[in-house]
Amino acid sequence: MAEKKKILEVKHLHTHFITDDVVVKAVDDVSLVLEEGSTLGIVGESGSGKSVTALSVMNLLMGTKGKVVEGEILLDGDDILNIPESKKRDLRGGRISMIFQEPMTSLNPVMTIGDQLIECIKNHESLSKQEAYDRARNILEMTGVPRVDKMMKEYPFQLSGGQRQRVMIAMALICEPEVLIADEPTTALDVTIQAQILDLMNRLKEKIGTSILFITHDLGVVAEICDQVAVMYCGRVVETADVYSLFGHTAHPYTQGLLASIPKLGEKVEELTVIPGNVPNPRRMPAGCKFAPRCPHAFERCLQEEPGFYEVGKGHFSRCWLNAPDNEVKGGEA
Amino acid sequence: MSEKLQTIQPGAPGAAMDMHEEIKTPMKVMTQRFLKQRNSVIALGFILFLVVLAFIGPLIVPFDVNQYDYSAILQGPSSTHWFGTDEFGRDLFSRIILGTPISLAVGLSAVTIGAVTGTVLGLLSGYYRGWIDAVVMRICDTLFAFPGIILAIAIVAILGSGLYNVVIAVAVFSTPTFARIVRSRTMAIKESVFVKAAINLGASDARILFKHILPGAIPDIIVQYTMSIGTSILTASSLSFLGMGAQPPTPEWGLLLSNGRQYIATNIYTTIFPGLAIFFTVLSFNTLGDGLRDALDPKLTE
Amino acid sequence: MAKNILEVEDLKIYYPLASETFFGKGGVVKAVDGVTFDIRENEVFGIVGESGCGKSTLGRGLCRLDPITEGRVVLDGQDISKFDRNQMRPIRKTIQMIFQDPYASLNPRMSIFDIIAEPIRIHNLAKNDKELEERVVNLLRRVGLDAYHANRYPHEFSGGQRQRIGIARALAVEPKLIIADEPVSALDVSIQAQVLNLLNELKKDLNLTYIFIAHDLSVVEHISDRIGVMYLGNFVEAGDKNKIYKNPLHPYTQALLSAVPIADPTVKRKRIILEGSIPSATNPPSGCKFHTRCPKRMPICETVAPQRYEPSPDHYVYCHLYDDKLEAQAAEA
Repeated sequence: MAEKKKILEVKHLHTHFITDDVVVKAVDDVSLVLEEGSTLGIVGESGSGKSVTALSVMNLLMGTKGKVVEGEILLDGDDILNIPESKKRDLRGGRISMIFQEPMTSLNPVMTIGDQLIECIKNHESLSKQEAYDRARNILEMTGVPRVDKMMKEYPFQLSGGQRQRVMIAMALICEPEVLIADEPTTALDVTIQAQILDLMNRLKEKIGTSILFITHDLGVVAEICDQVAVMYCGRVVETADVYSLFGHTAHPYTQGLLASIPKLGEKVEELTVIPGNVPNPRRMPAGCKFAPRCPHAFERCLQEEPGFYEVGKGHFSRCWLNAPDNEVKGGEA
Repeated sequence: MSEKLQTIQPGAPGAAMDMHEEIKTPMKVMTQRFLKQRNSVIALGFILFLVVLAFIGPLIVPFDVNQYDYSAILQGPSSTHWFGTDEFGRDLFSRIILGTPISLAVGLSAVTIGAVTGTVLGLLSGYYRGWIDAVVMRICDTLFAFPGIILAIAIVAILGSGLYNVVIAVAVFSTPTFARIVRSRTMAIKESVFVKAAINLGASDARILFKHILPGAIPDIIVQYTMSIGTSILTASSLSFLGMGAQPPTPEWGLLLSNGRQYIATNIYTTIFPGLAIFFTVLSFNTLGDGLRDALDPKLTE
Repeated sequence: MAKNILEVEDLKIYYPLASETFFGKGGVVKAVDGVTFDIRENEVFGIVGESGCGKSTLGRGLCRLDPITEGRVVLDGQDISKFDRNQMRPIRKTIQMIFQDPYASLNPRMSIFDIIAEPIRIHNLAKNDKELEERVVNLLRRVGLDAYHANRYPHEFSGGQRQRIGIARALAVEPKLIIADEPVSALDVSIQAQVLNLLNELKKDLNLTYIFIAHDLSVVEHISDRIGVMYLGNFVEAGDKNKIYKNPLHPYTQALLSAVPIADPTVKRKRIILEGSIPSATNPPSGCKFHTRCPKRMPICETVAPQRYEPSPDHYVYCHLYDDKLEAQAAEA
């Protein structure tokens, strides 16, 4: 099987937030690979750094106190981090697009849907008015909204949540980007609408050839649409694998804990297995493995030293001493 | 904007707090935020200085307030008379210092009356709506229709000149501002989930008003209070300037300013120094208000 | 036979649309449009539905936070449907609520102590300060927090901890029935499990009854004994949880269950995709409100609202498909 092209590569990304008294390492040495034509899921809870990673890639940190302090981001081999601001602007919406959780706040309330779509095209390509309109109409139709022509003339407030999300997807895909970053796009939607949207994203992915970086906290959604998964905790990637291996041969205790703690349809348990404690305070991150204070398998070494990223299967890595090859664990007992 | 920042701040605030971490009461948080604003802290310092001056003024002034000295009329600043003298040879420096408690007293009392009245009206109309709201708002609209100073002049014209009536006039025109602010804050807080929770627990209206709504309105009230003092002092001075407020020989700053007007050609300092006193005092209160507003901003809920 | 702690009969909660548009008066939102059910002591009754179905309004109506337009609510044998605020006050010791948003449900200016003490003070449940303090500390411990948390303020706590505080506050009056309105929806997945376990534990220790309102079907299945599925203000299916999840009868329930993502990539399901989106609650469709999106609709569905049928004990469905008489007619035809 030919190896797939790496359409997006994030290498050792560090994004820090500089507040008055402390530096918060929101993203602390994160590396990711998105293969062409596939969907990479980034899973994490609050504080994991998943959204900040996406914003760093899209370079949307201006105006916040966040700054990428180290790392490389490559889009199809091109450096997109250390380039002038004007070039970064060109990329956004063009080669790389993003959709957000709350479609209402991303859509301009005083412009019609049609106009907003056309504006997207105009930012990146020069087409005639008619060509632009046709393209906009086309992509809107692909998202499956009813009465496309009517909707082109409507305003965001007239649309339902699901419809707005479709419009946002249309806007993101209109310039046929190489990469689509979706930050919790279905979290705010009803489950039946979510099903429709996930379906839509898959179909469009095939049709347009976009690769998707899908950020979510919902493991069910991950199982549905992701090909590869990266699990994040406290700004680090703690496990990464293809989706079958992640669910079938879970390696990292945090991932195991997450899977055990969600109620599953059809399963009967009296009590859910729980990950005790809370996410650590960013001002007082534990030394050693960040998950150790909550980990049922933690031992001495975990509290003192951060584990490396060890291979547990083909393309399957876990940041845990339990997965370290034997000669590295010398001196630590399980 | 702060909304966005919050979602991307890693780790829930207070996620793992331990027993010995200092308790961050809202008061403490606000104080810390306030102290970061240099201008406002300086303004607060100046105001405190004025307050102290108001009390100890009589003890430290080099000359009496009405000490005539016909041999030294309309002099400029000198080593004996730091700010010069007026047309009766009275020391301007002493008179200005002794005018401090007057301006402060007028400002504070007028605004306090306005704030209390306005708050009560605002709470009632914002919470109960209906006819109370209609009546209160119509009255406020009427009062708002007049520029503050015109209203003050009208009231003093009816009641007669003198500082007590100035206080009443300023209190009257401050009330609608407080009523409006408290009313809108009341309406907003009334919709919040924690108020619904309180109703659900069986809380009476009184409890909700005083324990939930009023504390939420206090920051706005405080900020408006400091801003209004500035306006109030300015209005009192203006009224005195027009001859409707303090009467001679009271060393009220507006009156001093008015007095000095006649002698500008001979001695410009009789207008400059009282003017500066008014200017810096009002500026300080306004700057303090700005700083308080930033510190008390309800991003407190983090 | 377990006693019914709550009996709801044909409950309707309508409220007028606030705005009057240019083109005429705003309509009436029929948030809850005729709901009938009973809740047994000590059970967990889950109410599931998507946005706009009226489940939250129903919860608030039962607590009388929203006014009831029509219908009866009988709590522990007492008809509270028409009680005014003063009459409701003592009732609030019996029925309490946990809110969805842990960040909004606690007054940011009150200390945790005051927040939990408030209900105790309102109902005079403590004879003196010492007893008050004891009660508050006990409540904190019961929900998994510590005594020293009492002096702190909400902004210092995480979402899960704030939710625990909200639970402690509700427990302070020693209620019998707790309405939990999406209590874990705003929490991280790993914290959800903690809070769900806590609720379960409290139910057993304190003999509580819950009405658990949520949109997450897996969570509802886990915690409930019986459930009701709501759509546009009505129940479409209700009864024993196991029966409904194993064998959903109503087309909406079937679509809903098929849409839930399963955390197992090897499971591939056929999804029932519903057409269209949820109609407006001011102008609901005639007949069966679901008919506009139903893959199994029949002519009668457009004109006649379905009755309640009980195809098996404690499994109710509001759908013409289960009308025995219709089936008989069809068989004859």
